[in-house]
Amino acid sequence: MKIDMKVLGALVALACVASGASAAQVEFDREALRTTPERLGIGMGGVASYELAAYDFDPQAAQKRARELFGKSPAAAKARGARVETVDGKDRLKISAGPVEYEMAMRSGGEYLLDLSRYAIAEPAAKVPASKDLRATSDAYVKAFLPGIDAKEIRFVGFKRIMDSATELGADGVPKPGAATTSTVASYVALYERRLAGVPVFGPGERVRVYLGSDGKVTGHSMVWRKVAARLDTRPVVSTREIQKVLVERHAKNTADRITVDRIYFGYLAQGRYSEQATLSPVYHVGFVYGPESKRVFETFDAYTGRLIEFARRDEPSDDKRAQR
Amino acid sequence: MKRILPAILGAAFGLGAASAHALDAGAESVENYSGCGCNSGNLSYTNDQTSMFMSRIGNWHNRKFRYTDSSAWNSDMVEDELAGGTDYPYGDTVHILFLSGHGGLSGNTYNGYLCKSSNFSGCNYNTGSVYLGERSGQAKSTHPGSLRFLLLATCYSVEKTNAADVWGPVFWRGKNFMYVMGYTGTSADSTTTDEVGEDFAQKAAGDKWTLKQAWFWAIEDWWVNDTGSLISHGTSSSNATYNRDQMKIDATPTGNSPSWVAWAWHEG
Repeated sequence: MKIDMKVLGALVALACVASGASAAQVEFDREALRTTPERLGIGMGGVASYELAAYDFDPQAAQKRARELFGKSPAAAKARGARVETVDGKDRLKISAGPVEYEMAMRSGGEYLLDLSRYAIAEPAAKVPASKDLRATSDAYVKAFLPGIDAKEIRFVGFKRIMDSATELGADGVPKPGAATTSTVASYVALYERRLAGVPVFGPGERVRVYLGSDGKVTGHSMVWRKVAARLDTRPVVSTREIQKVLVERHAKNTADRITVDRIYFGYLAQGRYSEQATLSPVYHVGFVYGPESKRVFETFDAYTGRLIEFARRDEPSDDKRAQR
Repeated sequence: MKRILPAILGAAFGLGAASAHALDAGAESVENYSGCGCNSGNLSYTNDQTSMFMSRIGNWHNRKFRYTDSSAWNSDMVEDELAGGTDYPYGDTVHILFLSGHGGLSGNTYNGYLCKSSNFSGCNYNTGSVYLGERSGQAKSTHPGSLRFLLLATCYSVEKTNAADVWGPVFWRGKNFMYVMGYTGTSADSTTTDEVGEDFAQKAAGDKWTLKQAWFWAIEDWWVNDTGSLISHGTSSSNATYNRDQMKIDATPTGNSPSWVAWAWHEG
């Protein structure tokens, strides 16, 4: 921790030198360092990349998996006896029974199971479930219903909650002064991440979520967990300090007044369920804001080289409003 | 003539859905703020978000317009009876509108950031000057508004602490305006979040999930710890709660004035 702070101090000074009349001042928030190699205790002399097994989608296997979950998962009780319907999409196979929906992504094998009559909807509960009971329920569900997960790779991160609230309005739609506003839990989400040799995998892929109702009962799950085919060669990675220097240099000519870096993560970036992915390589994922009304901008750097990774864009040309006026 | 071109273009290129119940959808986003003279800091994935949203929603609904950067005007959210406002013929002429860019709060006023334009020099718009979904007989209804569902992929767009104060008056001004989906706290501009609009469109329009489920699912599919939020209204506590939890994209406005608002958000 002391080392981190020294790094921050040194780099704030560097930023001030780098900034000019038309340049952004780059600052590092004290809370910026999240999962850095230094904090994770990972030797920077050699971090491995991984080859992921190509996913071979089998519609019959997906049907079999759905039937198993519909028959046994506590999240799928309302599927039993209901008519099963299958929708074959371009990149996903969806199988429904009553309000219960199962989907398998064709490019990754990622799946979810949800009872849509209960997901994100509060249910009457005699008492608020205790955190330890929620954790025990979600852990047991992962063990019983999510196959192919190496226990050494999965790590519980925490719970998210969906909260509900309401209040009465007065004249002109302004909330009535003193009107009671109650907040209640609609549902819980247990979050699990994947770690490979201690290095976290982040991004929309390679993780598990277990959904629980306000009564603490499981209402579904989501899992993206690609199979690792081989551990590739290990290579040295650049330090967090080096990435911070890269950031300062990269944004020296940014026209914004100020850039505050408040997130630095080290790990493997996993693509979402509808994408193919062949390898996992270490990256730094860095977030910053321009000010109090700014989106948090994330940039990704190759941890082996320190170079910015440019991702493929999916932006189509704008309609031309000026030409229409 | 010029004002109806977006609709004509959409039809000409086969972008619209054929269903008689199809809604009209629009989107606006800004990455290049410096290009329109605004110093908000440039972004990298907001145009991807709106592009992917329109591409997916177009499978079921009518694509009316998608404006980016210098063509995405703050005035498109400002009431056309107010100085410089162009919500007619733009932001308030569709049923579903997706906006992506910077955003923030000043007390109980939400500020959204798109680009300035020749008739509206401000670098933002705010909820004090929006009249969305207004019906004939309501204030500022020379051009009644169509907007029902607003998606604001910006920071602080539906803040958990004052969502009712910010959006209650906006619902009051427009009886057609039913639902806002956004974020409490910051939202990310990241390669890992470019698909949120697409995911929402798939779940709300394609899979017929409720708006609440579709929006939270789209947010949850992200890693960067964004926290989603949403708000709706009704004539009573139970009606507002029902609308928040059960409303789908095919819901039609009742024409009632709101007496309650109900909202929800991610926490933790």
